[in-house]
Amino acid sequence: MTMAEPDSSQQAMPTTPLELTDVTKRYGETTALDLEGATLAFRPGEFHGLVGPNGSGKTTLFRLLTGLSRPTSGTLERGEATVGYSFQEPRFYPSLTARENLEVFRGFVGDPPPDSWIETLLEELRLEPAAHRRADELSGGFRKKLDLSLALVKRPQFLLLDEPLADVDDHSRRRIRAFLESYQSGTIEGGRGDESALEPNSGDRTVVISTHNVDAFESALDRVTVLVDGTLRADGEPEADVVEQYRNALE
Amino acid sequence: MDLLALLSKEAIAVRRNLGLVVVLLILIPGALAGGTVVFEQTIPQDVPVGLVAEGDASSDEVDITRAGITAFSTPETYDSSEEATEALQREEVYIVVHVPGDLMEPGSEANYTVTSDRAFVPFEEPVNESAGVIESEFDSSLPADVAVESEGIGEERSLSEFLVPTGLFAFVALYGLVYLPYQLHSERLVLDRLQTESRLETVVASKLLFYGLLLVVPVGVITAVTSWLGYSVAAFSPMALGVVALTFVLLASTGLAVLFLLKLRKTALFVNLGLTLGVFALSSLVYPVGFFSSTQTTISRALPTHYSAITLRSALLRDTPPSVYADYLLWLAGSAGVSLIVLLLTIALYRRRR
Repeated sequence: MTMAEPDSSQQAMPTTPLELTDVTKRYGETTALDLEGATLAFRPGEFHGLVGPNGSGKTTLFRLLTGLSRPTSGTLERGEATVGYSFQEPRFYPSLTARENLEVFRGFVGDPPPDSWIETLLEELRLEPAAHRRADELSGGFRKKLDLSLALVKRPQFLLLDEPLADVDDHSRRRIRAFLESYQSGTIEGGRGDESALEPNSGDRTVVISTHNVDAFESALDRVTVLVDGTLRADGEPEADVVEQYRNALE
Repeated sequence: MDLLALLSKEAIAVRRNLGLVVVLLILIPGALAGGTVVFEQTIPQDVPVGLVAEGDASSDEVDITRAGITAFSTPETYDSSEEATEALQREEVYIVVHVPGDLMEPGSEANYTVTSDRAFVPFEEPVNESAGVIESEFDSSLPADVAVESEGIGEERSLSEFLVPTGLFAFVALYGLVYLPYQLHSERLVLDRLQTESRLETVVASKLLFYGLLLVVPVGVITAVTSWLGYSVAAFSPMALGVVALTFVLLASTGLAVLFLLKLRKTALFVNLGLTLGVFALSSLVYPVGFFSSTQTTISRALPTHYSAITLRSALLRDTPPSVYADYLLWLAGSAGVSLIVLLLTIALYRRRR
């Protein structure tokens, strides 16, 4: 991975948080998320862990934040921030290659990052071997990495990742973790020596990781939110032992 | 034991996919069986037939003729030959009987003329049959010596040529009602991601636009093949392309609306297949309305696809100006517009239910 010194001349405009207040989401009689009486914010510049066991409402929360679902009640502030979403089950055009998928989704962006950003993603996420293969023929790990790349292709201010390390091999896991940390801190080069493609060091990028494996990103977290059965059990700075903090919240 | 375990798995799968099973095993067979009520007879009794007085024929003579042909047709009277011919070209009627005068004069010669449209090839035999029936019935029951002459309007056509617009219509129906929804269904997983970048309406519009424009290819292929075969069909005429486009929008929007209404489930594809069968069976594509029953007339004339078939046939086989079909084209365009609105409503509903 190539790191670059922050470039203060390219500071982006400060971003407002993604914020949910008193939000609930019900599907028929089932309550998937109940944040009644609570405010949950994802602040600019943080590496935020959203942890909880299966079925705790993490994916529902991401669907609300990305506008894929509407809250049953409560308010949701999104502002004008760009949001990238990597799904728990990868979402891409099955009949296109990995590279074609990236190029198509880059086309949705009004002011897209330079071409070299796609090369950076392919390289950093070790997707190059799969770049010219049909997406529906990829293995689970490559599918996951392609989905992650698609979430990153517009270089969003908020990056929401649902179980980003699922199905991914150990070596790729380490690379992904390091890449996401440098993405959040804004120290990634455009890729392949293209100096013009140096990405702006916004300093306010937010990465939200939804996982039930809290230890995977333990050292990177600036904030931890614990959801259990759709309710908020904990929200704050990580303690020295995040795994223990999570266990305590579960009990 | 293996067999029992596998059978039990199939039973569970059926329970899990109840919607699909209901459509496949109950609704489609039910509709196939129920649809047979439309096909009552094989000798036409309700085919619309035009009546027009010729020369000094009185209204009484027209009424006598009307009474005589009611047994095997549904007569419709026209004031002039031109009006009746236009009705023939619009397939409002499938033959026109020109009523002569002096029917009640003993010994006088009364010559009926039965006109048909040569573009409607499958009805040629029934027209000859009708002419024979008119001659024998009227000659024996009327005082005058009755003779019947048959004539056709338009260019002589073969059955092969007649089937070209029918085939084109069938292709557009399959393409719009089955293929496009199938194509979107196969990409259903990416729709979530697309919704984070764009609007579902834009996604659907892009598909309608792209696959609609792509229809130029099959139309071109049909033109090339029929030209090679020596047929004289105008598949690339503006009217033909317009009708193909409107029919595609109508059917593709309907198929996609069903898909969104059923939450992009596979069941929707089978519902659309059933709809396609219904369109083929009830739009009177090959036989005249009323050929099989009066119910068939009512149903066909209520379906916009019936007017697609007529206008497509006319565009490809008849040398008739599009203005003759203005109301049909308007009805088709209106139906396409309504199906688009319904599609937008089902997309909104789909989004709300997420």
